Amino acid sequence: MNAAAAPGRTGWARGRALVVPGLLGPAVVFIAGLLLTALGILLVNSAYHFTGTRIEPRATFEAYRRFFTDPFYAGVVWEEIRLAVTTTAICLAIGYPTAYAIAKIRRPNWVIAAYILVFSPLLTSSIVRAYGWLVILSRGGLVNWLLTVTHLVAGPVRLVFNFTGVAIALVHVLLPFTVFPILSILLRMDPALREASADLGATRAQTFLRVTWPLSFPGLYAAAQLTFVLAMNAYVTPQLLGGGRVQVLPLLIYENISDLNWPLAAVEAIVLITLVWTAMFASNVLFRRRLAAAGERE
Amino acid sequence: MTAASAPPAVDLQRVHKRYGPVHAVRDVSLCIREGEFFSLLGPSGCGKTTVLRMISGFETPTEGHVYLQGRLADTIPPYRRDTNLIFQHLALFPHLDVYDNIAFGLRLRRLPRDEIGRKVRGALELVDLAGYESRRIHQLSGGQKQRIAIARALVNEPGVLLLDEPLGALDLRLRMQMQVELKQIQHRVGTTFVYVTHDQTEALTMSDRIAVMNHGTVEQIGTGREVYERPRTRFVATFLGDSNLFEARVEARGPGETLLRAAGQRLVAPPAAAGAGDAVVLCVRPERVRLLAPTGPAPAGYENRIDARVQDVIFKGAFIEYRLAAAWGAPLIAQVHADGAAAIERGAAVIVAWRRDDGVVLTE
Amino acid sequence: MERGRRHGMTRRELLRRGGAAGAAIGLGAWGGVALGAPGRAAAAPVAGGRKVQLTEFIWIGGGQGVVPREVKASYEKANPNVNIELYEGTNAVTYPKIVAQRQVDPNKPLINFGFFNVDAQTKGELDDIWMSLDPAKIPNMANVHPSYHRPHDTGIGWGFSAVGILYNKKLVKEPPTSWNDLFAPRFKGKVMLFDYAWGFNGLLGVAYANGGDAKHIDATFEKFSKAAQDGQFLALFTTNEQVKDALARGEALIAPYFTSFAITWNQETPGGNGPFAYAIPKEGVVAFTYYFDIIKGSTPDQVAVASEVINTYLSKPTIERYCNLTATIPAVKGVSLKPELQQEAVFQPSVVEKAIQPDWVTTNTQNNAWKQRWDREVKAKM
Repeated sequence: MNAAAAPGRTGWARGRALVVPGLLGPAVVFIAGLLLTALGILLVNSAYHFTGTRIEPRATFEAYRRFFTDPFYAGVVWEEIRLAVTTTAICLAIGYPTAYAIAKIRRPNWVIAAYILVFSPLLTSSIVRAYGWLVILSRGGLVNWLLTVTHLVAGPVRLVFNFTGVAIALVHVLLPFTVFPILSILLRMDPALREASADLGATRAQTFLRVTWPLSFPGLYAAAQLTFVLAMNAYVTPQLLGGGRVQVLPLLIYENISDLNWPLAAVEAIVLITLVWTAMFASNVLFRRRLAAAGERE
Repeated sequence: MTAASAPPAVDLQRVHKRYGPVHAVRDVSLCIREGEFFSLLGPSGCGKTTVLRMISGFETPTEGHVYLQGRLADTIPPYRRDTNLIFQHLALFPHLDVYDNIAFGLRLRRLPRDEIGRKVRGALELVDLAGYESRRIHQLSGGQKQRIAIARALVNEPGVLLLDEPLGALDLRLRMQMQVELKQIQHRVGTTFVYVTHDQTEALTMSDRIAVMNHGTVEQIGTGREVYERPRTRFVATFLGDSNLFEARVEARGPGETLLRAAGQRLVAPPAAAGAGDAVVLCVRPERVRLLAPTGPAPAGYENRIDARVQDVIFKGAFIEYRLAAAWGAPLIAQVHADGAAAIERGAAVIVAWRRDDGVVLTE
Repeated sequence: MERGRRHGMTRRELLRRGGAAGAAIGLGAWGGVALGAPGRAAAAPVAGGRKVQLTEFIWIGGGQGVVPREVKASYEKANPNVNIELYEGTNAVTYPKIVAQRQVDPNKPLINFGFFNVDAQTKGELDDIWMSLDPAKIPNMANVHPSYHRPHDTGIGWGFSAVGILYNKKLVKEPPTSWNDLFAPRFKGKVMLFDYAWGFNGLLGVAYANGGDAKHIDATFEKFSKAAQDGQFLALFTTNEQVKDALARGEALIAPYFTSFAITWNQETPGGNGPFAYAIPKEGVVAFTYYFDIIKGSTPDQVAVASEVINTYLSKPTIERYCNLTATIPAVKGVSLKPELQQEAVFQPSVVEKAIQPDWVTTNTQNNAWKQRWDREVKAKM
């Protein structure tokens, strides 16, 4: 708006200019307020002193010093990232073809069936799912039986109470969150674009590589971020299926909170938040150009 | 005619397309000549787009055959057909810039890099957008997108260019400008254009020939003049422009004329393939009728005269349109060249008159 | 830690079987038990008839809720000016909330009184949140075995569970007999331990069995650490279902845990003959004790009511019914449990007398430090 035009604005136009902030305001204030308050509390707590049984409100950085000097925590962080990255990679490798296939289904009943199949993990509690995996992945379980009778392995292999079991169960839990963003962007994609590609001489594979894949990249990216964040924050699955062998930050945070070691829990939480935010920010920078290209709409 | 030497660019032989119970295209036969600007005109849902998609390969005929340059094309997939389609909403690739959009087809054909560059520049010049190579699609105006879509298709030098109502999204002015440009481009490249539209003006403006479609069938094929001036069916007569239609019965067939009776009125029409007693429809275009004063002398040749009353006068710029009611109540319409003379008053009694050969007898 | 909840789960399960008969007796059969008004004349209303509103913490799960509901209904009927609100939860979750509320307003406690396990009891003593109970107002405290009294009467014990070693009796030919059997080569890769819960994961059992205690734990950590490194442990668990399933399928052969689970899990198995058994280590089971407490900040009227209700719980018929329903070993003298429980080895007086009574104060003060050690010395080496 140039200055000359501004006085000419009617009351109606002014009112309209207030609509967006007016509608978004409460949500922004609520979410931002909550987030900032929580972060503030975390920061304050992280600088308290823990006596061994309770906290004392005197400023100290001993929780930070402890976290950043003890190699044990470096191991936990590494395990955490390894788990999240592995899970995300497997989820994308399975989720993209799944979303692609569902987007191709024409019959409404089959679409519904596919949705139910993919989203079924969300219908059961994570605890029930974990017990299911416990049974399936155990030494005498279905997977080991299949591997043994098909002679893929000589004897039962350890698939549970370790990293493998946690990763398998996490993939199962998080797959819907991977499929959904990819599926929604594939469904929103104008089918004429694929036809245009075919019309210009591209085979199915060429159309996929040159049109579908780059255009679905924002969905893939959103799926990766969502899956990664959820995997980083997973608690129940590593707790129940890790058998103590998978030590990740959420588990440590929970235990420290229940012991009233809030300073250490706060530092661990701050590290977790920082890891997640850094990952988001770095990937945004890394993929900015690709996202901008694919995100443009006519 | 080249028909003897070269096969038709597109040849549809008794083509049907069914989607379950829906019979979308019924028994369509078309023969589109090399280098022709051919339009498929009809209301939405008439099957014209389905015909186009069968030519481009996105649909397969349920019955009948499609030949492209004399080759049976029924089972050739779109990416191996020598046709290119301009989509209704253009379907430009939003993730690619102008250059990459136009080069898309050329790269798939693995042309050398410098040849691709030359061709892309040529295509951009053809559509008057030289220098736009690195623009992104969302930075272009509607008309520019239009031209890029044309360039992206034509750069592949297809045997047939198919256009699926590509101007629909543009405003009227731009649409009219693009119509002229499309025609010019077609002249320049000489490619066969098959153009789908529901806009009769568009079809008349650009086409060498028009196929008028309705309910999945082709009602008439001919040049713009033919289908406008000699419509064969009531649908064609009403879909292309306005018409005065008279439900009539053949009284007698004389030499070089047909005598009709409509609402008790005797009318004279050109010869028609109808026998005495047959029910027919007489069609008279509104610009062919003249409005005469009830008392004045009748000009020579204006044998058909109907008493009417002016109900509405609409000034349309180049002409004045009169809405009238015949003595027996039927609505009539007349368009009179606006030559500066005073318009007839509303409510005035007039005589609507036309010459024998201004009418067309429709038998179906 | 969620000891209370995890333990509680099975109590609920237990009720489904053993408790059904007891429940059928209903309120009428025992409702006449002395809802004593020990500190006052029977005719005088509690709190002088003023309206009293208070909150009682009880453990979640059907079996554990039965008796408290009966007591509440009966007490409110006899004292119309009193309204007892039941707050169901677990020690692990509720205790921190009690502490948090106390920091907000020490005169408005979240809970006025209720059931607490030894973990919460000890923490509460360190945090100074328990009120001293008045034996004059709770005369039935005299019935409680002396070793279950607390210094200054900050709470009163009423029963305990015994922690031994569970095993699969169909697969284990030679059952464990000692806490040190956790490290026996014949169980290599087949031992499951509860994560972090020193009372029932063997850490304290092993320590006391070898002459150590909560203050001298280093040797024990070394044992666990070496065993972890050698692949002695199958996994750590945090819920009943994990260990139950692993024991039943033979993936795990032994696990230190509450002995009562072997009884209830067998009952839950179709046919009633599950593969579960418990071993009583020769060094003694570890006692995991349960208490009643009144929380500081309660008004005199609330304290008066809470004292009367606790006194009711400590009456023989009430504690007997509660223990029968939840398979808890009573700490009240002269209580006779139902025959099935009386026959169980772990309910024998000799076992009860020999039970290891760990130093919970040290255990609690060291809890977080031990967790750090456990993470590094045991978990990280598995």
